[in-house]
Amino acid sequence: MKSEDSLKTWQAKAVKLLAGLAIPVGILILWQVLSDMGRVNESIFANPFRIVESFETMIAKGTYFKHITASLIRILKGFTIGSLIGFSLGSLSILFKWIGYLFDIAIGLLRPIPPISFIPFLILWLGIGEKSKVAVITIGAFWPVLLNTMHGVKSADEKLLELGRAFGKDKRTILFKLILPSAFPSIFTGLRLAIGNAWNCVVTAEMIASSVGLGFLISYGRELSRPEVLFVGIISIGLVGFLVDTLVIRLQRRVVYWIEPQK
Amino acid sequence: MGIKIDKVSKDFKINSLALSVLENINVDFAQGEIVSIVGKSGCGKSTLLRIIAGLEPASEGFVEVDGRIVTRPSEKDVGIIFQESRLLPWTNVEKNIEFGLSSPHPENKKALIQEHIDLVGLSGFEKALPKQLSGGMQQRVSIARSLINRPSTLLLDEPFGALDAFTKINMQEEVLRIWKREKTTMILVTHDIDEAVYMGDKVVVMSERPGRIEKIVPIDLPRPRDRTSDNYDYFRKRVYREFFREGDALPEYTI
Repeated sequence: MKSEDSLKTWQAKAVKLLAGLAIPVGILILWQVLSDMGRVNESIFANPFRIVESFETMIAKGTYFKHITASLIRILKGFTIGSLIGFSLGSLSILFKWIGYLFDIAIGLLRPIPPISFIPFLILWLGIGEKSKVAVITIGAFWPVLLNTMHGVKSADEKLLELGRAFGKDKRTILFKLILPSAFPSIFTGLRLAIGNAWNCVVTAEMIASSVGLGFLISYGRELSRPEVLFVGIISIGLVGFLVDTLVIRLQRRVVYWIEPQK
Repeated sequence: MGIKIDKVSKDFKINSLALSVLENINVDFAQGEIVSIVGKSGCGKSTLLRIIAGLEPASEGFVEVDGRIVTRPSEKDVGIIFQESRLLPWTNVEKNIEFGLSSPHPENKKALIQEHIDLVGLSGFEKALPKQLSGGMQQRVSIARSLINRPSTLLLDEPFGALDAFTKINMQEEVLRIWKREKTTMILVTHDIDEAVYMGDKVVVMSERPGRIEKIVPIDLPRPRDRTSDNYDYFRKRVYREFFREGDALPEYTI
């Protein structure tokens, strides 16, 4: 009975996977067929075989690895700094109410500015090197973590906070044992959004001013009129983004185990 | 010792209008007594309990628990059990009970926690998360969490209100069993007349708006009590009549 059940879930998973693959694979086949029929301009829509070929050469030469690690390292740095600052300020806002008041208007004014609009300024200030790129990613990762942490700590269950009071717990215990765990699901949502923002920022920053990275690969492909290189960049971003998000959802299930994951 | 409630009144301000919730509550409870406070919803019975717990200040008057005037919660002397179990959803039974400890590191912590898990009959569920437990089991955990400091007084705010009828009866027995062992003073707030009579040494009947003590009915019945006996029925009727007069039976019950 049990093995039958697991077989069924295995089958269900396989069906889901196949259904999910149908559209990307379908597009690739259509693309290739249209290219072969000469119906698309190949100097813009490089055909899938050429993209794969260019991908293989880049891997063989080691340049692909160089580009992808450059982007990932930038993201890792900016994401870590940005989310740490966002988390710290966000959790302080519950301890000291005036911090919330102090930043209320500043947040309202600064938040609507897309982080990438700071890129020229950051280049002017921090130079064309790594610092300005990490800085823009930091800004991109900072906002969602800050706002979701603030939201999370504010929406801690009143009844649990009263429980803390009834049991004579001090502020520290209430923060670490009640408020922060309550805010965890929300903080995690913030981290997930932050990763998305970080990707946006890194690609844009690399397209504007860089000599390495996936964003650079895209603008480089355009400059050389080699669309297959450009597409390697775009597709890689999609693939890595997909992998990272899958990983984060897995992590979420482990970290926020007491809540059923949302679809 | 025991509990002394001295001329306690409580007003709430709603839109700058003072609303009197409790008016001149004056009553003493003896150490080791079970007192049921019964009244319609909105009569201020839960507010009274929260004042005794130190979660809310009285507008006038004061409460003394074991000779000490209540100004803030004191988890060592007074345990409180809410209608909802209020467990931390992210941690297991053991850790939830540990949360109740007033000093974080007593020497025999592990044994103490295990003893209380056994006391409420949850052996084997030490590592279970709250969401894996039934409502009755969750409430048992919250009882163990409050008992772990050995408080001299236990306040129960409609603790079985959310449980089904059978679980409720089981939990009432459970609490009485614990009371027999520990002899804690218990104040049980409820809107269930049957529960009030079955559990209480006395039943405090409250009227509403403003909340006043209408009557105190001593329940002179030996324990264990038989819910089906005539004597029991006599006391149940006495409390019942405080709320519904004879002849005002609800239309559904008239033939």
